[in-house]
Amino acid sequence: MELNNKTDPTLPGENWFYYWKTSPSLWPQKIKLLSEHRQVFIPLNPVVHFLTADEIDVGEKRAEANLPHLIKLCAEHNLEAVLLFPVSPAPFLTNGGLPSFLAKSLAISNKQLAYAILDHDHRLNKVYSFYNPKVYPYFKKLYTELSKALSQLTDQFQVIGINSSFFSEGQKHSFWEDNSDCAERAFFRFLKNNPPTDNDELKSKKEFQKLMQELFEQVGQDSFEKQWRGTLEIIFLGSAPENLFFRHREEHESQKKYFDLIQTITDSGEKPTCILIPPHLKEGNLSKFSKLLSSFTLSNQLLNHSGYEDHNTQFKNERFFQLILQDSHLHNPFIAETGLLQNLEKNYRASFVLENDINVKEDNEFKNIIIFDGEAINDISFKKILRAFLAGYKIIINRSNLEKIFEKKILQFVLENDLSSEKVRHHTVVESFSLGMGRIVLFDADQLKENKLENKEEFWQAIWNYLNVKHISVLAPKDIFFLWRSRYPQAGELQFARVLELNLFNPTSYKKTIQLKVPRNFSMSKQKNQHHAQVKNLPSGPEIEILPGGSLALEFGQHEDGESDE
Amino acid sequence: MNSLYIIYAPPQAENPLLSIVLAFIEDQALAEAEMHKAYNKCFLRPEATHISFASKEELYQFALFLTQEYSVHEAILLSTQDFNMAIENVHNLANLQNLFQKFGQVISNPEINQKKKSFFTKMLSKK
Repeated sequence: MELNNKTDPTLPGENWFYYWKTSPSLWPQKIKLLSEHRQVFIPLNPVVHFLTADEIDVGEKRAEANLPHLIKLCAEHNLEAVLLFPVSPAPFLTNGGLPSFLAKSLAISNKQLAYAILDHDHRLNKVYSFYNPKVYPYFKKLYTELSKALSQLTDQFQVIGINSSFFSEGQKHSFWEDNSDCAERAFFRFLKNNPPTDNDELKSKKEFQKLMQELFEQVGQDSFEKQWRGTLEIIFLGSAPENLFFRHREEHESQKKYFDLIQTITDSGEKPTCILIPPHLKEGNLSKFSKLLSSFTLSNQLLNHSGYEDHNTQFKNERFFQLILQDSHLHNPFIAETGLLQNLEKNYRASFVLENDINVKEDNEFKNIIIFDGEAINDISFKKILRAFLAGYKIIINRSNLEKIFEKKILQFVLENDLSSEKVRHHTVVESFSLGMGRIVLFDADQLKENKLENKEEFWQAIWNYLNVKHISVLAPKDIFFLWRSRYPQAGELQFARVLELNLFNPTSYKKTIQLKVPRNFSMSKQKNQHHAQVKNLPSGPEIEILPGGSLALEFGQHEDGESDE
Repeated sequence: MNSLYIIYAPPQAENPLLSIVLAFIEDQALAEAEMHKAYNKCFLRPEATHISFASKEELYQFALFLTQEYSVHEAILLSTQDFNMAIENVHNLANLQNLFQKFGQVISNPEINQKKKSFFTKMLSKK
């Protein structure tokens, strides 16, 4: 396979730096290439730091293992070093991150295939089992040594735990999924000490995998107490075991495939990274798209911790509808069979996200729509629902699989607070309670499922109208990809309550036309990052033409609800 | 030459049947629903919920059926066990491309190959 000339083994993209792939004399030169950014993400590679099983080197013996020097170099270039600490087998590292004396047994996926993954350089990384009982003590030893070596630089770096996953058949899978003999033996030992109460071996296996991940995470927390910024679960695009068979021939790799995947993964509420994708494929649109997403993942993880200024005036990824499901994947019958998914994909594509739990900010001025499948409600989420309702959120709940106790609690809450209620029949019984801006809408998904598709469509449209949903609809062909971001207004934009940014990409080889339906409470304020694209203002709304490989970003100012409407 | 690649899992303690892990032509994986349809058609088992095989012969029969359904020259079958053993010793991509050829079981599609033969025979007879 001929490798693309532009491939730099040290810089896989998204500000990551593979320090072990180049001579330390070239580190300053490489770091300089990243200096337009704020942070440099440095994955820790245990393979580099074990000279032998008994000898660890974090820079005392060999320059290529000198992490303290690398962190100082970053500081000299005004870059903050963020160490990425693998808390699972890592698909971007040789042997999954195990030195050869620990890489004894290949890790085997649920499909019975060994994990063999191509990196951005089309080099093969084979993942070995982390269930080898010797792995954990050696890791603990290495990171204790490393934290000692970095103790003088405590304010010059941060640490994020990386839990690596892959995406296969519409679902996320952890690299802790391992069916090797080594993993089976470890699981057997676990079962001996923790016999399953309900005879559910699969559930016990999941618990065991979680426990293993937490053990490694604890090592990171204990070693880098002050610098630890939590763990992030990231899906590595192209790392599913079956991907090897398609990716090993360069002609089978295409930008569009990755756009598709990124959209599906982000809709499912997960965080993808393009680190393993060859640079020539990431050039242009995919690079822009993944940059917007990576700022959403690693940098946001840092922003959630103190010590950072308020970033409200910087764009953040935005999803207007939160769908809370027990099994949060796109095949979930609640969203697939009630017509909800079809409606959102038709009118509000890339505007919704699937989640397991309710995640709201009570002081947030803009209340997105929250849609709950009843079975996802438990005592904790129920309390959050009531708090969100009181804070003015609009919440839709499927009552067909809602436990009776919660339905009773809702009715009790309505009676106690003397809330106004309405009950109508529109393809199914719909009951609604309101308090100020807050709404709770109960409906029966099982009844709705019995209806024809057009009735389901009509139902959801009536619900959006009732809840006064006013969002911009993007009517775009399926192979046009886009994402929304939002921020609070800056000094010159005080007529708006918030600013939305729509980023559009055309990865196809054809010219594409996109139509926008812009409600009156929005005004288009800016066109930017225009590349082979143009906007026409038609009486029916803006129409965008994007040529092959083109992209465009549009900013919209959103007025207070009702201000410029009617 | 067009090939269909099939990776299958051999029988295991918890599952005594053989099953297909992945089947693909070029860069397109065969969809589960399509394979199911072909399976029902091949074995006349409309009630079957899973694609599984009691023996290797049954799997080969299905592979042959698929070569005819998708008009490909051959099917190359590789077990997950063989793949896992082979991958342990693979260090570069050239070897990976040869993996199916080296360790796989080839099932030829006689329909296409015969057609090809008769075409050449025709050509030769013209001369």
